[in-house]
Amino acid sequence: MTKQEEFELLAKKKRSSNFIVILLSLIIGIGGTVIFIAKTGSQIPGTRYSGGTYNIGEDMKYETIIGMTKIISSIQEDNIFSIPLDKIITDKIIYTEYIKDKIRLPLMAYISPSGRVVLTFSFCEPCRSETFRIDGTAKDKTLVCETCNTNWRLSDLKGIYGGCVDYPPEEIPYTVEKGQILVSTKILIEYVPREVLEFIDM
Amino acid sequence: MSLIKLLEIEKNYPDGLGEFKALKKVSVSIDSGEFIAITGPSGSGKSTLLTILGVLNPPSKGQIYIDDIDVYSLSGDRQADFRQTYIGFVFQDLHLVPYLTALENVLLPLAISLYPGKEQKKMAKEVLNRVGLGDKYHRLPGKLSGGEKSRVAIARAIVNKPRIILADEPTGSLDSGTGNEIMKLFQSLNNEGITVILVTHNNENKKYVKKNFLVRDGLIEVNQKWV
Amino acid sequence: MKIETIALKHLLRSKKQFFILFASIVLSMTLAVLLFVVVDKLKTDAGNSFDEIGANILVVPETSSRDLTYESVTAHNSNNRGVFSSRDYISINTIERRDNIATVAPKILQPVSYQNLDFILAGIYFQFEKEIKKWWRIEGEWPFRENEVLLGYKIAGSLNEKNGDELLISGKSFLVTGILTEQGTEEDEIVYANIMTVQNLFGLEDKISFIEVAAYCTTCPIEEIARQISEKIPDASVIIMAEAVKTRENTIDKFASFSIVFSVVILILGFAIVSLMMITSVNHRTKEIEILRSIGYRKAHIADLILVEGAITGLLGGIAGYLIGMSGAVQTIKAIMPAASNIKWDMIPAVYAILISTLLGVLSGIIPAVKAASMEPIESIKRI
Repeated sequence: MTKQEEFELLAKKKRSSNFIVILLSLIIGIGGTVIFIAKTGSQIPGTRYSGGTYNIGEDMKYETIIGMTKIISSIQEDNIFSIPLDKIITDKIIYTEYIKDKIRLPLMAYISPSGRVVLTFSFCEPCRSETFRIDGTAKDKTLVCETCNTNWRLSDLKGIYGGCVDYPPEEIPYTVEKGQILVSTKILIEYVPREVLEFIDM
Repeated sequence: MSLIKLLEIEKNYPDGLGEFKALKKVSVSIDSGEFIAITGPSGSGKSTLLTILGVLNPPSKGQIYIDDIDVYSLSGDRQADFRQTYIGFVFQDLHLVPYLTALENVLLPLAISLYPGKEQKKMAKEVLNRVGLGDKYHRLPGKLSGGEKSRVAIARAIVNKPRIILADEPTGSLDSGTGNEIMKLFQSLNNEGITVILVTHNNENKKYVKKNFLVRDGLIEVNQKWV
Repeated sequence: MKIETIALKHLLRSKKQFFILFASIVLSMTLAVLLFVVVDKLKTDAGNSFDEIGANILVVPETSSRDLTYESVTAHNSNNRGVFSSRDYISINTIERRDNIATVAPKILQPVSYQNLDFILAGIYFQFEKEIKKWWRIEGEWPFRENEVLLGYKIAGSLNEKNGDELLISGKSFLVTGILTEQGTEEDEIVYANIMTVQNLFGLEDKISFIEVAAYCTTCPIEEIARQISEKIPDASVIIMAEAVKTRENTIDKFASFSIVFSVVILILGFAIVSLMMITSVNHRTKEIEILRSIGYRKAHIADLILVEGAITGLLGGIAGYLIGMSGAVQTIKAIMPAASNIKWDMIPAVYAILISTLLGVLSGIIPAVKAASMEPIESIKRI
């Protein structure tokens, strides 16, 4: 290549890349992706845990409406939150709160018709209710949200009727030891309510 | 075949109320492959002539053609491109960029060239090896001796394979031994066909140059021998 | 080698210059982030605690006559008149600005008689009511179980009921767990029970008489929230409690754009300072720039060199400034408002901060870049 050719080529040479434009677009691009992931990542549909399987050893026959009993005296150890099992058996459905620092988490435990102890977060996201009751008068024995009157089957929390059928109280895994229901506080601390995307009426 | 043609070049500088005529209707032609010394008393217009040849300083009147290109009719950007393509400068106080290593200083002209990155590095290392600094790629200018700095400056001037090298007092601040080595370097570049033009006062450089431009009172006297 | 490489090497090897530039950007970003976050937090918290005190939106059926009233809502003297359903109630929580909804409190009103006294039995959801009536003081306990009731001050006297007493309404036995202190309003005349219990007792399953809403209006005007609720429940009157809005405007909303204005002022100052520093830096580099020009750098190349340095410094300064500013904000909030909730380290403001800072670096570089680009190559060899 002669110098004259080189000189002519230089006139046509475009800056292949502009650093600043690339940098700014990179920030916007990466930032946008992160925000997008952060936003979509928080949409956790359905239930996230499979519940515990402890069975009290006898069937429960519900015939009436049973409201929640509030239990305050739940013991908290370092990484374990515990609920006395006998209270659940006597009261059938109990409400208790895990309180630590700024976290206040409502929990519910009840005995299913087959005798299984069901432990859930006591929260119905669409209506923000924290209390429920057992309706033993219905043909299907149901768990009922006290605010929106949504009914779920007691046995498996399948939605039957109401505005929040797709948001049954979420079951929490637990173990049973010496008459206490034990829950890892890690699960409680990490709990985030499910995002309510659409309101489905049934 | 002449490489550089100066046609009736005039250069005036404002001087008080009037004008100082640094160059008065100078016409001269320089062939490809010449080795020229520009000499003359200080204030005679040597510096003006060198800057005009270097496409750094437009003349007040007249034209200058280099490789048949009317350089001062080009736009500012194209003049810059022209300097990049055709001319290598070796400045009096060298002007190495203090925060760049020897290798990076030599890479400077290539950063805006057409050569791809890998090729650039290869070229820069080649010229540094050639000027005898193969072991000092990564030294900052502050850690180099005077002679070494001159060599980096020359390497930077020739890395882009220019057709013309313009040097201003290249041996001015060097001892005579080092000065001679630098002049030998210019000589070998000249032997490869590069046109070398330098401003110098040093009589010791006499033996290397082929032609002498004596600038006196704004006029050029072209001599086959040093005057 | 590229022009960016040169810029980077300059920043890396001229540590003093880089540090001064970096420090000024970090300082302005830190101050801007700190002020913005703290003032915004103060504003939001003040606004939220204001909004939480009492409902500011009332959702009522469209027509109403004047039988028995409670908060200007009528309890009709016949059954099956609860006009809203729980579906309407839930839909309020699904409006676009649902994050601005603090509490939605549904209520069912039922006229009843007991011991020859006519009064209203209000079915409420105690958990929500507690949130929305923060000023309520109760002797005894808030009801929790389905058969527990709270009595208004006067009705408790008229019925001669105390905590622990039983009350028979419509054949169902209720347990009095608490008595509301005197409010001086119709609330004193009302018996409060679990909403679902009342609905079941009177065959009003799913029926709701009216809904009180407490909305946070710092980030969204209350009119907009009201409009969105109207959209979800077309056959309702959505009433904005004008008084609440006015008081709010007088106290909280003056804060409104304060944080933004302040941060912008700081950024402008930062821009001026960084520009000046870069101009000084360019002046120091005159020789170098002229050399680059004479070996063939175009004006644009020189401008690029300076702008890239601004961008890199801005980017790094933004990251550091955000981190320092946020830490400072967390500490400041802890110090001045110990009760406040923690500040969230959110991704979105971080991205904004870094973007703004990079832009600040680039913009501050413009004047110095133009100055540098206008340097003529001849200057460097004038003395030949």
